[in-house]
Amino acid sequence: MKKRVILVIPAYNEEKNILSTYQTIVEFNKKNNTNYDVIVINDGSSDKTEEVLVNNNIPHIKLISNLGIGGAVQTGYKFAYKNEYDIAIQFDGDGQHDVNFISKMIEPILKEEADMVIGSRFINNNKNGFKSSTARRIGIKMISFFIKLKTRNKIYDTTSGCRAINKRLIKRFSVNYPLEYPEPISTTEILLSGYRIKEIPVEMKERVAGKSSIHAWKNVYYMVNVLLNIIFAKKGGKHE
Amino acid sequence: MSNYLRITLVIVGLLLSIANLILISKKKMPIKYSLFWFFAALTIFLVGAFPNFIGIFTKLIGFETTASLVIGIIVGILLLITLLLTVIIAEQKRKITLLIQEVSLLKSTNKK
Repeated sequence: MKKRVILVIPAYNEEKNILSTYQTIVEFNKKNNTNYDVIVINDGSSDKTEEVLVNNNIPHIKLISNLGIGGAVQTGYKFAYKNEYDIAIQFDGDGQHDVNFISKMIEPILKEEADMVIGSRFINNNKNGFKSSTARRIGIKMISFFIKLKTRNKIYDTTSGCRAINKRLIKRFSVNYPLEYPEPISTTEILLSGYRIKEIPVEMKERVAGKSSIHAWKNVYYMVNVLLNIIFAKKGGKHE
Repeated sequence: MSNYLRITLVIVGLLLSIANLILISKKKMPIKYSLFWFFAALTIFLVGAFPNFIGIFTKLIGFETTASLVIGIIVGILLLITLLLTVIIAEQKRKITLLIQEVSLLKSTNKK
C-alpha cells in the first residue's frame, strides 16, 4: 500500500512566499508522479497570508490566535493524525527548504530505519547552500554538544526545521510537542524515549522574503533556555 | 516593634481578610485560591497581635529588628504567591494552546 505523506507548512506573515512554496510542491507532484499533500498552518498572520491561501485554494488551517512555531506545527501533526497520514514532514513556508529532498527524507522511514529524519545542513561535506551565520552555527554546535551529553546521540543540525516523522511520532507529537524551542527539545525527548533519528544532507536556500522567526538568536536568552530545556528533558511529557 | 506598627499589621490583616471575603461572596475569588490569601492575612495579623512570638526568630534569621523581619515575612508570602501564579499561568497557557488548536481544526474542517 502506498504511504500517505503530508507536508506541514507553518506560516506566519508569509504573504510573499507561501504561494510560490505551494506551487513548487504542486509542480513537483506533477513532474514526479508523487502525491504529497500539503497543509499550511496560518499561525494568526496579521498580513494577507490568509487571503493568499483562500484565493488560491491552498489547503490550510487558520489558527484563531498566534501560537508560535511549536503550537502551529503541532496543529499540523494533529491534522495528520486525525486524517491517518503515515508520514508528516515539517516544511518551511518561506522558501528555504527544497522539495527535491523530500523523497530522500522519507526513504529511511519507508525502510523503517528511522522514526525521524532530519534534513541537515552540516553533514557529508555538504558545501553548497545556505549555512546560516557564524553565530548561529556556534549556537547549533553548542546545542548539539548538550544533546550528545544528554542522549549520547550526535545530531548535527539541531535546529533544522526540515524534519520527516513516521506514524508513531505523528501520534506522539499530536499530544505532546514542546511549544517553545520545539526542534532541539523534541529531538532530545524522543531520543531519550528510544526513537531512532537519521540525519541526511540537504541544501537550504536563504529566505526569499520576509524575516526569520528567530529574532532572539543573538540573544543569550535563547541559548540558556534551550540548553536548560535539554538538561531537564525527560522521556515523556505530561500526556504519556 | 512599635505599637503603631502592630496596630497597622492587625488592621492590614483584617482588611485583607475582609477583602477576601467580599471577593468570595461576589464569586470573583475561588475558595481554592482564597486560601493562600487567608493564610497571608492570618500571618500578618498574628505577627501584629503577638510580636514576641516572632521576636525570638529576628536575630536567629539575621534581621536587625522585628519590624524588618515583618517586611521579610510579607516578601516571603508574596514570593510564594508569585511562584504559584507562574505555575498556574503555565498551566493556563497549555490549555489555551490546546483550545486554539482544536477550535481552529474544527473551524477549518467545517468549512470543507
